[in-house]
Amino acid sequence: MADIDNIEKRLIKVEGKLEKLHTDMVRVNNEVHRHVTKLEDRFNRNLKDQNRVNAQDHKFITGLENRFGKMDRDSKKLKKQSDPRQVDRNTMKLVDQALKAYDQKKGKR
Amino acid sequence: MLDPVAMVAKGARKGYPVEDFQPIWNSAAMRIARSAWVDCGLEVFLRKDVPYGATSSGRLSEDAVQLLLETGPKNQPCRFLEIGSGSGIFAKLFLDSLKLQAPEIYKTCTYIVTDGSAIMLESQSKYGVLAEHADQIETRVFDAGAPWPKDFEAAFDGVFASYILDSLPIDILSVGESGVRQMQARCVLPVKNDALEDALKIPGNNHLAPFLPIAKNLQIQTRHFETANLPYADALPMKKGDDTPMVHCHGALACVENIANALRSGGFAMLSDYGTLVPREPSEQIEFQNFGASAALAVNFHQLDSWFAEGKTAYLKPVSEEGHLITRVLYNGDGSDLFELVDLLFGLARQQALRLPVEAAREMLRANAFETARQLYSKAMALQPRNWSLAEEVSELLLLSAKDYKDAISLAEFGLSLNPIGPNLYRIIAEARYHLGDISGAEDAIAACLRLSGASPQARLLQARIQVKSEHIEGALISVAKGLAMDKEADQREALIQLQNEILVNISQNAREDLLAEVNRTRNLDALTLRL
Repeated sequence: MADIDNIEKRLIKVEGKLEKLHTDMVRVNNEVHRHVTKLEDRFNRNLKDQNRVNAQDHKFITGLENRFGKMDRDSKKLKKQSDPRQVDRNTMKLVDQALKAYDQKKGKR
Repeated sequence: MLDPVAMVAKGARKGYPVEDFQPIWNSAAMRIARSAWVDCGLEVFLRKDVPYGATSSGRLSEDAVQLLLETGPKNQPCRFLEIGSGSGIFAKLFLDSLKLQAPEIYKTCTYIVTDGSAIMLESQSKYGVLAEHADQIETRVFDAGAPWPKDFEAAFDGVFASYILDSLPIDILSVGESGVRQMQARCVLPVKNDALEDALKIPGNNHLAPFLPIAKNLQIQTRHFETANLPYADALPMKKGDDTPMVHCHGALACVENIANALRSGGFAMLSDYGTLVPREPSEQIEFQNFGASAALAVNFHQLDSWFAEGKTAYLKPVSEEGHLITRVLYNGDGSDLFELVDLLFGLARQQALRLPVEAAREMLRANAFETARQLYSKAMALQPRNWSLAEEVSELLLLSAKDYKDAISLAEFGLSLNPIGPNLYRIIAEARYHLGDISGAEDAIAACLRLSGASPQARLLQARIQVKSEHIEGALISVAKGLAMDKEADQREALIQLQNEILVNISQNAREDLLAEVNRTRNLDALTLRL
């Protein structure tokens, strides 16, 4: 009997230990869960921030690309315009326009 | 108490005043400038001190004929009046064109050439500017700023005034909410000059001509005073806004009224001058234009336009215009008859058509695109075939850039048929003949050029070159010296000195060769004979 009693006591003790272990595990789990959730939140927040920054960068880079593209087109246009032959053509065009405008006015009389 | 503003402004008071403060028109600077016209003949035009090519190129003369023919002159014989005729070239080209286009009107017409200076009219006669039209011409000394004689009233079918309104009495005013204030001026010199002070006390301007050389040293101190007695006070704008400078052209207003009164029924007047079309800005400073020793001020056409808009004589101006040479037409008849022609002749479309080809051609010349320049000049000449000033510019292109010497001569000779007193046209002919090897022809042309404009360093340089070719070395050195003495702007100095060096090196070389020839005259051939 004494052994049974002893065994019961030990069982109860083991049960107690187990419960404590279980409680500890649950607490640890909860803490781990909370921590992971917190990390997830932080990660999500970082991700959002990063996306926002990326979006801004994308917008900025796209803007730059557009501006460079425009500059490229303008410089081609400018190069074309500064070509002496084009300058000559433009000048002659202006002169001819002025002469034509005067001729038309004269013709109306 | 110390006043920092007064301390800064004090420096402007430096110098010795030669007069008291008075309206700017009566200031010493303006009176001496007016005296410049008294003794001067055509030289001011020949030297191009006065840019008469703008109004006497032939374009405005042709326009005047066109206006005359458009009005269909009702009175025969026609009478014309020109005030401030200056070079006489406007009159000459008007009569040339009239003779060509309406010989029946030309034959019986009378053209009265007037100028404030008797010497100017004598000078026109001396150079024979109007000799071809002697039967049509009457000359008369007449100051357009003085009261007009009775016999001018309703007496003319055409009155012409080019570059004269800008030389008539003005006031410079400051107009703002505080009222109208007149600019008054007094001139100061860095050193005291009693003779000038005494001369300025005597009324009139003619006796001031001896002071012309010191006129450039006169500094003008100005102040604004309230005044109640301004002529044509009704022609002043409303007093509002910031104090704004304005030129009150009361002399021009009076003159244009006199011109209107001088027109017969159906008569017209053509007024062309340098001027402004819009009111001045408050920050603007009004300055005189100096033409040689004389001075003029841009005509306030804004004021003239407002004053004459409602007059009994039609006052015609184009719908839109540009530039500073502005033309207005008065017509003693129904203005709607002439408006379209006025708008066509003096409006923006024609101004641009005349200006752009010439400006573009000059631009092309700077870029050495001679052939494009030639093309553009051709277009310009098609619009103004009888413009001697343009003919001169184009013949210079043919001479220097295209090296078409024969064409340059032909065009310059054509220019001379229009303007017989164009020294540059003679110079172009001389240079072209020089390049063609016609030295005697070049000598004749450069002599004609120098008779008209002996003070041209460019002509003296060419004369020296021609003299070198004809081996008149002493004459060439004298021409170089004259050129250097006259070349105040140093435009030709380098070329003159280079030519002088070439002549001197040539003289030394010839002298050395002569000396060597003299020293080595005897030649002993014994050594050679002995060997034989």
